[in-house]
Amino acid sequence: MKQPQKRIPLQPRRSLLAGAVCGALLCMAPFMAGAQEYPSRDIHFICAFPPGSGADVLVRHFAEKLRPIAKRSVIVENRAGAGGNIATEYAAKAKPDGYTIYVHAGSAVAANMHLFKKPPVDAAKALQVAATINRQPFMLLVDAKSPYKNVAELTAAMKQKGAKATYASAAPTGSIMGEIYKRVTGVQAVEVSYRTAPDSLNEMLSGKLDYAMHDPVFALAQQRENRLRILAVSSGTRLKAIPEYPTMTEQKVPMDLTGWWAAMVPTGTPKPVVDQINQWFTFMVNSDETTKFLNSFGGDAWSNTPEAGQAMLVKSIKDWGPYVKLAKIEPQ
Amino acid sequence: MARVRVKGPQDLGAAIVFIVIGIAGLVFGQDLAFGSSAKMGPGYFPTILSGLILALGTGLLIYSFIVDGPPIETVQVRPIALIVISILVFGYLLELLGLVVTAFLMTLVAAHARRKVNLRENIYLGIGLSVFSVLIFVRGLSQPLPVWWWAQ
Amino acid sequence: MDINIIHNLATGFSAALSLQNLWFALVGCMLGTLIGVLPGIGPIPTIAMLLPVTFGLDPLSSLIMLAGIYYGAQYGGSTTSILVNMPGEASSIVTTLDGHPMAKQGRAGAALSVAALGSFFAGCVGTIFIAAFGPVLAGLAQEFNSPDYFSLMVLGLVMAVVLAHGSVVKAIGMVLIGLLLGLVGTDVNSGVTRYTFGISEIWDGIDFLPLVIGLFGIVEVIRNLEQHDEHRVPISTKIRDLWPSKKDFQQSWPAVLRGTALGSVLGILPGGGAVLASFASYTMEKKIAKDPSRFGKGAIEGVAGPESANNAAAQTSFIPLLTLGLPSNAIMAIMMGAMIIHGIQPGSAVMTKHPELFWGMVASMWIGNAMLVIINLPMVGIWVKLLAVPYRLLYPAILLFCVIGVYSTNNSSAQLALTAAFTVFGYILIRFECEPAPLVLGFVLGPIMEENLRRALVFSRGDPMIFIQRPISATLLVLTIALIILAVIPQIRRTRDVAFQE
Repeated sequence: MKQPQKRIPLQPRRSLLAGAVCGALLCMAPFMAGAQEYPSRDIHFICAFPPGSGADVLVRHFAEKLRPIAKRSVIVENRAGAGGNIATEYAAKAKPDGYTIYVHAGSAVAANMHLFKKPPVDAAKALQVAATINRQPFMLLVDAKSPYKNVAELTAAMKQKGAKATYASAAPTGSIMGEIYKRVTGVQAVEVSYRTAPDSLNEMLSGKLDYAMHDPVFALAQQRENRLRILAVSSGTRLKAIPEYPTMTEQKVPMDLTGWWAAMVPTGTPKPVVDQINQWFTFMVNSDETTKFLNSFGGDAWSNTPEAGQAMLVKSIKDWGPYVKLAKIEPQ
Repeated sequence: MARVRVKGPQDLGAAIVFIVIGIAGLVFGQDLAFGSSAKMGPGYFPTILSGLILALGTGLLIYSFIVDGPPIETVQVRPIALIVISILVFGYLLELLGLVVTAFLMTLVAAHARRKVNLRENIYLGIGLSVFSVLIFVRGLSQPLPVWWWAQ
Repeated sequence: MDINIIHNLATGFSAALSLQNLWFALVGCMLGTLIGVLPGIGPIPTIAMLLPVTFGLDPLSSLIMLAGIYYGAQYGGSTTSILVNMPGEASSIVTTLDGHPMAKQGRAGAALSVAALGSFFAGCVGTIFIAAFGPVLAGLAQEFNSPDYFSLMVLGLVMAVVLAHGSVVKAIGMVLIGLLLGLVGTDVNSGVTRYTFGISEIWDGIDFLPLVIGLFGIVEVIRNLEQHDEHRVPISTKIRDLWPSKKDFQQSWPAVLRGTALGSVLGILPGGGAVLASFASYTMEKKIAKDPSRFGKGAIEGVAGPESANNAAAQTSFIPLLTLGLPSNAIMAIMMGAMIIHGIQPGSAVMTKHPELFWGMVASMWIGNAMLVIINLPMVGIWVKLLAVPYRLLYPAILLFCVIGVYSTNNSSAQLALTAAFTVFGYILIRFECEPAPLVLGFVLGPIMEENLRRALVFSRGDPMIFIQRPISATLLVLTIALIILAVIPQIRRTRDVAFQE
């Protein structure tokens, strides 16, 4: 499968000042009391992407940050493949003791329940969300040289072009966003699939492609370089970090496609351990530098209780069914 | 009529490899939608490739009966069998036994790929390599490999 | 403009020559070399693993160290290609073709020295290239659209056929099988899985390492074991033989120049730039050589050219990242991640907003290359001595490092089952005189080729004329045809001669 949300916001990690470490440890002190015995050995983070990918960097970043807080080694295990299913299965079947934590996009876990004919596990039952990390939209982009300043102008021009229009996508979320847009507006553009968003840049700039649905990391970087222009974001509400970009919904194309990352553990992990993990991640996610950094990539830092996170997983699984059908993606 | 005789055994072998792969590509790819050139389906490129491989194989098959070529070198079963087994030993025992024991076992199996085996020397080699690999890969490069059969 | 370059390079050198940055360049180069020499572990997992370690450093130091690992691993990878026929990554595959035969003839020292010196020269030129033409070249790469990429891939594959020293028909077959293997896994366009037989480990495609370790490295071990004990490699450890002879130098330097030029240009293209560069250089050397039959049997140009080409390409592959914010390969994607972590947006703004970082990196590339040549030349003696270790002790170690490397890329046993399968396949191929190098190039370029063919035809609505209407694509196709003519004519003549003898 195409991996949902290939580009993931990376997180900042300037040299951790001694003060920050001390502060972190002080803040953690009260939490430690709840679970004296956990962690008593190394913690393993499961990453569903190969070493070096954007997502891998995010996972390793949290591993590095958790080390001084948990006072244990945090080892990242890459178990890439099958669109994340291999890692999901491995994490779900691990011992539910809190030493195996799956750091991955909850939205991708949910999507895979529909993108595959036989998902390896029933994610809502097999996994427990311990903490959420961020939320991020996909973005509708056009060439910065093009005259379209909003979605309505683009739609009008694309209707004129009819089936001669083309657009790029590089992930299932982009495909789905493109299908919803066409369904709502009646545009008939032809989808051109790319492996990664940057692969599509040359053809965007040469005018071969009329518009694109891409991840925020690529979109914001190109907007900053003044090569591409962001017309709208796919989330239901504007993001706190980038309030200047309107939602597709505001632009009369209703949709709510939001990607979100989470730390997940196998179901059956003791409640105090889940709470401990939640406190760690909540603390890390809300640190100033992390929040600021997530923002600069078009995602908002987003922490929740384990219960709210789990509810989000269940809701995402429900939402993705119709999306996948709409985008006419054949489940594998 | 002259008797049909294989003249280039190596070419014949390669021809068989090509034909098998070409047919396999076509058979296992038949469920993939072919599409059209304007809208290539997932089966378009594989079908064309498999067809070309099959055609080349067929050509080579005919060629092998016409043009003389060198004979195939004799196959020795022992080296390839034991090396392949040693790879599989590593792959399937690592998660059960940990790196220390598996590296040792693998070294012993691999050593038997040669005819003359000095068991004592290979036990020392196995111990040495297993210690070395733990030091380099687990301690030095912090690879997430299990060292023993229990979790640390 | 010229004054500016000098001024800029001065800025860069003053930043890169600080004691701290020199230290990190050295650490990076050493680590990279060591890792490159361990067969199986390539630069990608290494850089990924060491990335968190560099979080605490200042941005320039951390990028210098990561870049050092990258070049270092390339040097190290050539070392294993030459000594044990074990390429660590696609761009050092061609080095095995003549490098390993040289080692078998006792000329490992000459091969290693020429590889190191050629790489150093190419690295220097690559650095100047970036300093002088970076933005211009980046603009050129941006002109490439889908039809152009497709034609470039066609040219690359024809090169793979030409470089084979056996039968052209078999080489074409190998390329096609490689292309087919490259398509295994999920189709980018439709999301349908192809030829996966329900094995979820290959849904994202066959990994490169099991393929190349099986086909090249382990098959080589088996072949050595089939030969008579101990007399495998005639070892020459006399100092005289560690250094290339005068004749070696004379044969090498033009190859180094040509390889450097090819590599500098091809390196800026995304995808298989460095791989294409090394294959192209080998093909070119073989085509212009007076006696092409020496190739594959230890021709020193076959080491000097490709090694220079892949190192030049390694340098210039930074251009799209530093000037456009586009990573041209997996390693550049990691470097991009590293920059982002430090709060630097890769792209044209790097040069204007962080000149000391941009030019510091350019300067450090030269420093890194100089360090590598200083580290590696004395090591040549040690590496050659390594060949004096009895093979019965050496091969279990080689095997073990390979399997650990393959396993750790994805922590999966299935990778080793694949390695075993490719070992058997590779052994069969060798018995039938089919060379694996064209197969690997097909494997690497296959997916890129299919995707671009498909896109080009979507844009042209199925009209194949698009490949000759675009000037870049048309030029590349003309080159392809010229190469085919050059390659096929001698073959036809030979076949006809053989046929007439009947």
